[in-house]
Amino acid sequence: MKIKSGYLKRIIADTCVVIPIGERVIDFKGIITLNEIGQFIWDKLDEETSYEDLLHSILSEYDVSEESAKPDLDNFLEDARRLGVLEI
Amino acid sequence: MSGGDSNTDVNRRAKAWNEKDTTFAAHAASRHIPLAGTFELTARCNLRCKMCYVRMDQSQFAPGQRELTAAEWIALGKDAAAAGTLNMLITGGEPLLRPDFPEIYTALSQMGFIIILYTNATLMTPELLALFQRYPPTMVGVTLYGACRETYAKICGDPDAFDATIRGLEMLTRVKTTLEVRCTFIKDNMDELNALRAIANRFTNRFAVNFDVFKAIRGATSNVADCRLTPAQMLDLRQKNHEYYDGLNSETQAVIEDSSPIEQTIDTREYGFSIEPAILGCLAAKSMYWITWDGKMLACGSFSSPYTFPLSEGFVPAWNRLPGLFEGVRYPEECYSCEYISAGCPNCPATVQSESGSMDMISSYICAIAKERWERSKA
Repeated sequence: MKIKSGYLKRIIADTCVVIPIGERVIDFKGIITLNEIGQFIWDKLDEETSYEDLLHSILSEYDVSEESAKPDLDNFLEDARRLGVLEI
Repeated sequence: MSGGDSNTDVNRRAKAWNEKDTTFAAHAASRHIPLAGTFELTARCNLRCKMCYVRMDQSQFAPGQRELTAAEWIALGKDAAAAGTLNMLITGGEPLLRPDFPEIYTALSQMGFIIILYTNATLMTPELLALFQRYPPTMVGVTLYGACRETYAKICGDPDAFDATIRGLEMLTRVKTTLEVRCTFIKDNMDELNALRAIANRFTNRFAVNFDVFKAIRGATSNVADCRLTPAQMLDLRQKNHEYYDGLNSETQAVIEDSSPIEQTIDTREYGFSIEPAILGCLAAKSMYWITWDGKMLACGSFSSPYTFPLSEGFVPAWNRLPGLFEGVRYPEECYSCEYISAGCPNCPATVQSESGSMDMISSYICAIAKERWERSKA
């Protein structure tokens, strides 16, 4: 899975936001706010990656247990699918 | 999962924005981030609306005065994006009049802005339709000046512009954008409120009305005083529009841009009014700016001055210098003891400057509106 093209990540007023650009405005109205870990996952999803690779990357980057990381990753991916930003 | 304090901060902010406790604009203003910008691409227009506050022909330009080039607008767009601009209004004059509009628009649409375009729609072509279909603005606001050819002749000097506007609106309904029809009311179209709304509703339920018409500024020469509504007419028409929407038992969306009364006591929680320049009771120069067709940065488009020069001094230095230019500015002395203020007065440094020529000089027109509101509030 990966993030579809046409989304631009920007830091505005100390806040990471994702904005649809060009043709993507047709599919997505609004902006997405990302926290630090959301930003980390978003960046990883810039290229094709698997669920296992994502989880592994989070566990390597942050001092966090798998039990704690998994629900947050699942929530992120669920939100991303719901918003239609993921290419699966 | 632990992401540190920054995660908590962002989560808290996002929650507050979702719940409307505060706004991204207020957050940006508290950091003096230029979140919302306007690019006024030109003062020229193919129409000659008698109340226009900004329209100029090239022959009216001062010596040495010129429109920014496409390359300059694109460079300013890049600077604005880097400085934190998210909301971008593209307006004029009539922006579609510029032959290089597609070049400017295409570039801006790739920079990560939420774009709103204001146009009279009369110059829509299949090529522009294809451009907007490919890169849709988030919203297009189309000005509609009259409900028939005769009114367009009286207001805009061109009856054919009515048909051209309707054609343009029809084309824009084929763009995946939010369409808004915007009407400014003067004596010539004040009897067409319902007819204009009916036309607008053929294309969209977003119908924005403006009854406050202030004098032409920045070199424009319209004779606004002769055609605008009297305060009584203005308030009657506003009431009539409210009554229409009040009478609807539906979810029809009323978009009423009617310069709601400006409170003299201000809400710091919602919009950060305590941020300098405190004399401006809105987000102008706090998180909002306007760049004129000839490259000046203003706090908002209703000002003639003060301004900075984002191209020559740099975008961020120009933005950072703007609030300080309001230091020492005060309302006209009479305003501080005026009893009409309590009922709402449309005075702000920009409207006062438009009307009287100076931010500290009282305007009889603004006072008359405030008095009319006050008398109606007593009744």
